[in-house]
Amino acid sequence: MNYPARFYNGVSAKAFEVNCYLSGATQELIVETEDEQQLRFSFRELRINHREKEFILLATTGTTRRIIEIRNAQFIEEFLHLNRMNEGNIWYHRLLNAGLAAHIAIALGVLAFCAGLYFYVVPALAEKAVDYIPLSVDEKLGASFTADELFTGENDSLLSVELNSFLREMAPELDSRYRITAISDDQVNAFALPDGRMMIYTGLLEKMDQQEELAAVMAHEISHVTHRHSMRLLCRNLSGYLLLTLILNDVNGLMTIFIDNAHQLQNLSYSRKFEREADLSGLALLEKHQIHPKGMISLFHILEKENDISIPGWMSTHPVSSERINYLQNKIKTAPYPGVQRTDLEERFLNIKKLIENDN
Amino acid sequence: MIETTTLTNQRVYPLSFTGKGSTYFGIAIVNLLLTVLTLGLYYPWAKAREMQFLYGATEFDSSRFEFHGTGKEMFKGFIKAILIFTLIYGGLVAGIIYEQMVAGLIWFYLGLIFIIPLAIHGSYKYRMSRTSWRGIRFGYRGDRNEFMLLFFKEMFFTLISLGIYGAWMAINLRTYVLSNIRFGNASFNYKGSGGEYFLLNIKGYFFTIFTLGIYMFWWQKELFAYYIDRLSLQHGEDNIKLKSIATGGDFFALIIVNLLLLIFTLGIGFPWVVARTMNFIFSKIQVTGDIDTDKLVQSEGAYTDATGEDMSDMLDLGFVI
Repeated sequence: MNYPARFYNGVSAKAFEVNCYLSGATQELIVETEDEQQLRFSFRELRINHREKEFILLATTGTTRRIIEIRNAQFIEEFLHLNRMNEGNIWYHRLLNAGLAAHIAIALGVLAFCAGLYFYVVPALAEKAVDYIPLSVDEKLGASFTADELFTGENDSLLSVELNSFLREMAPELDSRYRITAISDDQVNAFALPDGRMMIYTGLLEKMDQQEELAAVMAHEISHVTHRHSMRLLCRNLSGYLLLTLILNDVNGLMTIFIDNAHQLQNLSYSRKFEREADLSGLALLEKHQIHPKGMISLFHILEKENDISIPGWMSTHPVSSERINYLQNKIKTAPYPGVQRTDLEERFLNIKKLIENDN
Repeated sequence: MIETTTLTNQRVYPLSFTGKGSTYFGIAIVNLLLTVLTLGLYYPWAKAREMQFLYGATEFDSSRFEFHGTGKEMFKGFIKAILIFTLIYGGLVAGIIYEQMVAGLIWFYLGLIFIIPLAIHGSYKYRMSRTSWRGIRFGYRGDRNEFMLLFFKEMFFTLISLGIYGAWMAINLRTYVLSNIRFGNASFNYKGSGGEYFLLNIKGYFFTIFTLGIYMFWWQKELFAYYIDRLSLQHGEDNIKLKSIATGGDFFALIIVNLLLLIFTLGIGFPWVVARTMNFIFSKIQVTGDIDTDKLVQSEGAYTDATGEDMSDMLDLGFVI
């Protein structure tokens, strides 16, 4: 079958109107010019540079590129059928011509795959990586937070000494990394730094009535440090962000903003996961030292009263207090408390309360 | 299709983009799949496929453009570009580790500033040599050292003028680059002035503020026209002139619809956005002149080093300057 075509010789932009036909036996495309010259191109040296339903642009390989343009759907069909060299790429063209529905399915599949990486694989790998990061990095990270830039309140040293005695009495096995600083401020809060320093605001101490509550705060913060939550959060955050930027490399900025915010929300969920872990492992620590777990529950009652503006759980760094009370109660039910009383701690606790009252 | 007047040889050359968003979507999605499955290594081949489609769907004077760069070439460039970036970032990291922060930062920023003109030069050289029409290659004849010198000089003036000279810098670089582009044995010319460009931007900036952003689309129209209208192609005595026929309203419709398309498809609609934009650009450029396109002959050599092209990608420079 003869097809009209346009031929360019790679030397000038002048178009030659030619006829061409295909030979399956010799795997060739034969071009016949107006002056009845014959040019033969083996399929091997032809590349499809562009193809539409009724248009194909073939170019020869090599430095002098000769071009054959054919506007004929039947030619394209015949060429693809005869050209066995093209078979290597058949899977690619199959994918390409799979249709819009299939492409949307692929898009969703890739999306699900990336989501799987982002939500499960990468965070798990990042947490594994934490095991290989030496503890000294946590120490450096914690030490980089210096008192004045982070803590608004004053450092109350006399109270700190008492708090540290309480801590040693409560859990003698803890090494010297773990130390407490009291901060004179009305905030009802406490936090831990990755190097083992823990800060408790006098605002929280004032609200406490029982030694078990103080023990519960300490147990919770100790758990943050022993589980290296700061480091794990950092690793998860960085790796997740890295993956997102890799995937969305050349997608538009709008998408990036969208994903950025989603990433923040996702980090909050890690943060809530770690808080829950610190609650439960703090509870285990209390039990280990025979301290009644009710302290932790009444601690959350204190926090619940303080934060009367309730943020929905998914937007918060911490689980909602009522939710925390719930899961703690469930946990306590499964492993009832043995019933011994730590009188030694009571004394320490009274000293601490006295110091605070004197301050006021 | 071809309009000719009998008095002069002046005629209008048809220019259009006929690619469909759905076709581009298919290409982009298959590319995405392969890129993800190969952990990113497919990227150069993906890029070659996309460029091939975009160029192939662009028609000038009833013939298509061709991009014939290969994934293999761009992969080699990709590896070289990664090595260069590793060196630059490596210096910064070494600075942090050995507590030589200042030295690390100087190395990092000097490195970045140094590779920007290299990347622009390299990407034009590669991209032009890999673009052709009716088998006739484009070419970029700019000299690397000359361009780097020009870039640093313009950069210096921009810095000491606190950015005001930026308009002159943009036009001077654009003039250098575009005027060094060859289309076979025809050559492009760009004629613009930094002063005009500066006033155009000042006007655009303040009017946009006064009109609460609405003037932005007209500003865009003027920027586009300043690029297109000043560009021409010379072949011996004959030339081809380009003219923008886009209006501010056209830009308004283009940008707003593109934005809505992106928002409501959560970004998945971007191939349609690209297709619409390409279609817009080429339908809004009027090409007239008296060059006989049959007389264009091959004059530019092949250039296969894609390092600059890949570096521009990584720096996110974009191709148009």
